[in-house]
Amino acid sequence: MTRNLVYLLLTLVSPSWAQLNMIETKDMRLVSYDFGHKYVLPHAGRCFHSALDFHRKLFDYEPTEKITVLIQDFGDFGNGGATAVPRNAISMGLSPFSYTFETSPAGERVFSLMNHELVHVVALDNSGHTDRFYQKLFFGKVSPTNTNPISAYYSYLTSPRRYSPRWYHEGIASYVETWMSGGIGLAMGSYDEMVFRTRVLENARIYTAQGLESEGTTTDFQGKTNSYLYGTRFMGYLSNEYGPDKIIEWVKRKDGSRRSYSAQFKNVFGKSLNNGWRDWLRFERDWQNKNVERLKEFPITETQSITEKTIGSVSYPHYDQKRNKIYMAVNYPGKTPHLAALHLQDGKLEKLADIKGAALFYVSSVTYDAEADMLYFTTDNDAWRDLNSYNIKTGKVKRLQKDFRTGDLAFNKTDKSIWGIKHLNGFSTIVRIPKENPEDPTADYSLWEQKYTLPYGQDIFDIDVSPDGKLLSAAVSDYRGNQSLFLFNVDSLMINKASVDTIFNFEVSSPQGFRFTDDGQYLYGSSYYTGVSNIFKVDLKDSLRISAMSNAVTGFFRPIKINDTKLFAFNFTSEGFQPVYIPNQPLEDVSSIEFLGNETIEKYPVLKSWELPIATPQQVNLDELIQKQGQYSPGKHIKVNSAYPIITGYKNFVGFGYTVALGDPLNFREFEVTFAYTPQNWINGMASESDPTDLEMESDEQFHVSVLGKIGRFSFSAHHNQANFYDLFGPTKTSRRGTTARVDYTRTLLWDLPRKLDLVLGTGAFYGLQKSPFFQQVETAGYEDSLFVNFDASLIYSNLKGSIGAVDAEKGVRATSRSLSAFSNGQAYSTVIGSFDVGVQLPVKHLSLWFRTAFGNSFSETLNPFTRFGFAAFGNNYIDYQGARRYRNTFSFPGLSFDADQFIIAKSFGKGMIEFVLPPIRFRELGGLNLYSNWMQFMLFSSSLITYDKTFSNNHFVNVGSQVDIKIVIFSLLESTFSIGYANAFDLNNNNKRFSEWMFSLKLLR
Amino acid sequence: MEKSKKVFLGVVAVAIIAAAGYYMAGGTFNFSAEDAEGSGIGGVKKAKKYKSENATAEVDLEGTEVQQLLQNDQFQRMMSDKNFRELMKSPEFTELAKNAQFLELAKSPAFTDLAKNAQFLDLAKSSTFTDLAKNPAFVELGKNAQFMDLAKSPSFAELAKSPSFSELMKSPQFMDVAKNPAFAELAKNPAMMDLARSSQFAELAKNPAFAELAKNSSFQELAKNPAFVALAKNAQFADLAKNPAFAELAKNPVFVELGKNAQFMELAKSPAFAELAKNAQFADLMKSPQFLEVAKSPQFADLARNAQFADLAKNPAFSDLMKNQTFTELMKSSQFSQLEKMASASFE
Repeated sequence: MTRNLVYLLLTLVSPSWAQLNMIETKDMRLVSYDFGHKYVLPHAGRCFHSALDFHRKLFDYEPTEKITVLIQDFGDFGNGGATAVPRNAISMGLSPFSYTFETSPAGERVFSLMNHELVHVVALDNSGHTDRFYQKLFFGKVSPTNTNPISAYYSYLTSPRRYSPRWYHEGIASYVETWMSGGIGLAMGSYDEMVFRTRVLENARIYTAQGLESEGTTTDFQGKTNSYLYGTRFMGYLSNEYGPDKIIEWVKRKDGSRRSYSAQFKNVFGKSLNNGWRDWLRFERDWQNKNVERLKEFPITETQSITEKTIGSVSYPHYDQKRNKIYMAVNYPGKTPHLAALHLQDGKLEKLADIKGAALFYVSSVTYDAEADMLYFTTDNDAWRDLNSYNIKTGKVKRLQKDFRTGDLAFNKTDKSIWGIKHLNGFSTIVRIPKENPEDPTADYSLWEQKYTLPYGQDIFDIDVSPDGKLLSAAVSDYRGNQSLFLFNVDSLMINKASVDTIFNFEVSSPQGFRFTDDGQYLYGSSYYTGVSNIFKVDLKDSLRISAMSNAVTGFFRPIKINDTKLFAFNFTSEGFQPVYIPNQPLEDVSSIEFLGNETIEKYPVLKSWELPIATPQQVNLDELIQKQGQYSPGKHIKVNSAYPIITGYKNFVGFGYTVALGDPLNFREFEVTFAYTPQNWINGMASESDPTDLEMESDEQFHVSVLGKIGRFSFSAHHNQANFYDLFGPTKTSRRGTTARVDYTRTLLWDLPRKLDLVLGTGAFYGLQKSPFFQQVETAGYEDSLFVNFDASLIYSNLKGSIGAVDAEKGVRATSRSLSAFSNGQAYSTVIGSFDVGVQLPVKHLSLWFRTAFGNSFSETLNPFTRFGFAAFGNNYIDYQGARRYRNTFSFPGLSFDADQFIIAKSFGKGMIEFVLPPIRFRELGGLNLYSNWMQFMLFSSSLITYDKTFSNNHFVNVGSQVDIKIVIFSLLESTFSIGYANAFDLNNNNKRFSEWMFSLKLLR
Repeated sequence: MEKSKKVFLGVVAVAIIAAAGYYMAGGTFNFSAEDAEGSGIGGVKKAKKYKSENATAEVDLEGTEVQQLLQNDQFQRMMSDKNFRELMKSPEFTELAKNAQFLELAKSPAFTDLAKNAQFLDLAKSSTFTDLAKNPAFVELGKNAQFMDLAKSPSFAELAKSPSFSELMKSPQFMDVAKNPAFAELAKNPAMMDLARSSQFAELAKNPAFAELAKNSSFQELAKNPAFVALAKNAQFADLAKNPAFAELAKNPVFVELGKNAQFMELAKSPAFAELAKNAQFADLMKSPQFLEVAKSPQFADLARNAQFADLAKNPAFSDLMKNQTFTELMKSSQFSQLEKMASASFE
């Protein structure tokens, strides 16, 4: 359950909490926010109870508390998420799944998602008696926070299995889900077989358990899907080799089981996880080699490469006969996703335009108007899709419709309309997008028309319109997993009727990307009918006869007829899809493969007993289970999530305290209250002694109280003698004497990711300050008895992008502006600060260049805590929790440490920085399963700072430096960054006097 | 005929009947992937994949029919319109949504055209019109073509402002005279009105029409009426008097009855009414029983005052949506209140 999800709810749902409806039973809170989702709630409730009862028996599980399920429609494709820390919660997206390349199985999505997500809750929430002891001790399951890193340890004690890799969680969930659905799922997945067959065939790397986590899920074009692929396959192997009950025993967290997932593996299987994984790899090679032999029973289709480049994921391609080019959307490591033109003559891949929000597999839905030289494509493909045009002649991109939630675009040449499939409230609707808008003749393709809404459970995808505009081809799936190729009559659709001819029922194999030839005589597409994705041709003039056109060994996809002798297609490789030609020649014989899942269920028929019927009202009487129906009011569901002791730092002293975290299950409201005490004689030996104020502590400074909270768009904080754990480790101090209270209101003015514009309005009161609340070097004695009231307003815009494999933004823009006004004793003190950063991708993969600028001005000559800016140092502490790359901050100045004999305090300033961010170096096997490093990255920078101040002095400094960050992962989940930096600063107004600074820092948690 | 031939012909006949039935039914299939079992592809070895045969249960959902509307382009367009969302939240619209006549009326093209008309909205929000709509006589009159002809005459509206005319309209004698063709004939004669003003009745008496009229007892009574005398000097009255529609209408007992109604006279002098009366759609609508039913409702007047409704009425998508059967059904249903919540929540 991410914060983004809460954000989306805040954005889409009115601030009034009355909009959240709830059905409550003994085990479930089913929360929804949209009238359009009401139809599915009883079904979802029944599926929940049916699945939970199943998991109770299979995993010997009893929930520690009710499980809150949020039904949402935030994306155009089905998705789910689950957590059990601090509270049990599931987020369930209603949209149809994406069936691209058959990466997701067809079926009833609420049923299968509920089965799947509840396995996650079981795996996270199931507990042994020691876990339950710690849960009682800490008043719940502790969620780690980076402000108190000791909470990560407590979190491990209360929920140890949370600290397991994603492949483990997704693997067990997908495996169990497959058999609960009667064999529909990734454990029987054709794409899964293809991925491992291809890797074995090409002798490509199959990641180790650690390599998968450290590299496989970030640099591979399949991204995080690798967690599902590897996890399910590994579970499949274990189940096949040792029996399904063994993997359940591994995942169960019961008395006598081991806390760590890897220790429990050894406990169950009698070998280390690494050895178990190696055994699987041996088995997999053997299994796949046998399948390859089966395929070679008949001649394998020869391919002719068009380019040696593999281009990661690809959209449906379109052939420009005039220019002999193929247009498509591509997404591969090192380049941001884009529309591209493949020159068939020489294999050159030409970038046309960036694609905002590319989908992992289909990238973007693209269609082509050859006559007008226009491409139409979708953006925000993982959210609510937009329609855009790209003018091939001018290169101009234009957004035509925002959030129109439609994809699978097809162009009707006869009337220039675009057809597509809209996803809304979990339904698929065939829509037509006319070219003309009678209300605005200048706005082409700005309207859409509902043509036919399919019944729930029937998903339609991969459509095309025949050249004569009379037929619309489509793949249609039902909730039993059957998938057929259909021909719709366009005239009927125009009057909102569906008149359909069935070409072929491919059963559980999806008909993919069937498109009409230019003469309208054939449809070419692909299907895993043989277990391998082959090309098929439908003869529309010959009784819809289907012929196989290939016998692939890996898989062919998305064919286009180039001429009578050759077809264009994508050939699957371990690096992604490769454009090739194959002969346009029907085959007599095509081989098939065996599925691992198939062999396993034959070997262990007990898997058949895992099948769970889709719950009907007769099987699960939800009305009898419902205890309460009404509205979900976050305030009423707030409870203590956890409470635990902490260590804290105050100035140069060590203290201790206790933190209580509260919240509602969906995190709409969160509070944290901390009490701490610092004995006057507990001096911190590690801290710097450069600041004399930090060596003094009066008795009235010994008590510390902090209250943090979030209610909707408001966040607030109050501190009395604010303490900070990280002040124990290093020169940067954020602990402050005095009392402060602050309220911020954040309103997102633009949410079009990656573009985002936030407005933050805040007000605060400060009393008893010894120094600036923002700059530790700005000491302002004499204001201890002054009350300052501060108002500030900020605008923060960002549009940052990165390609697959990037560890930081690689290009884009970020701009901020902030104005502050502090009032005290009838006087106003105002300041303004602004910054503007811009970055570009350089021709080398993952290499980028950034220009960062900032300026600021205080409108008062008076020196007080709110009228000066301070610049110094990298800004990182030895142990830290804020951003590792703090040298980029406006008020950092690497080279000039806090300990230097000179400091920069300014009333006005201007600053510029140039920065090279070098490509990350990946480590596949550095460390062990519970502690490893996965990448390091170098940055080089130089900045110039000019300041003005009558009280202090005018300064002109430059610096040059570098930093290296090394990513470390502890317990699969706790990411930390070790940074080393070095910089020299030069005082240009003082004979280029040189200062130098080393920085070492371990940033804990993300 | 051999037995095998008979069987063959029988099969052919059944096939022909089946094909004819298919085409007569419009060639429409209730498509289900299950109905089309794959029979195999020549030369291709299908992969062996386990799939349970038990997975046949139906998914039981509640109220999916409303999705036809929620997926509708006009509805979605409306939902992105702030005015529509505001309107849906407004109590008057909510109340009217339950009114079957309003929903019927909303489908009428005349109404949707007229709803764009500023004068109509002015009129609809006037309490005079609302009150009058409750009067059966007015309802009856609305169907009368002559009344609409008269109503669009500027003279009528002008005259309606005159207190004398109001007074006169209440007089049974005036109405009696007004329906007399001789009166209309006479009114065409400028001299008659001049004379009437100058009281030179001697001259007038020479006119055969006047002679005819003079015999009329009602006219005799009327002539004594100071209101008539006052009005006779009015140029608009002269115009009106010679208007055949007025004469025709004067024969109508309903008009006679309504003439005594103060609200009617209020309405008659309203410039919006006069302007509107020129509008063909308004004339059509006045004949519609639903319109007059709805017009009686205070919510209708409230709605007419609603700025969002006025803006929305100009939006063609709104007219289209109001014609949408599912939407109007939904508006009557209890689900509508939830739809209102959706309007306020989903697109903020």
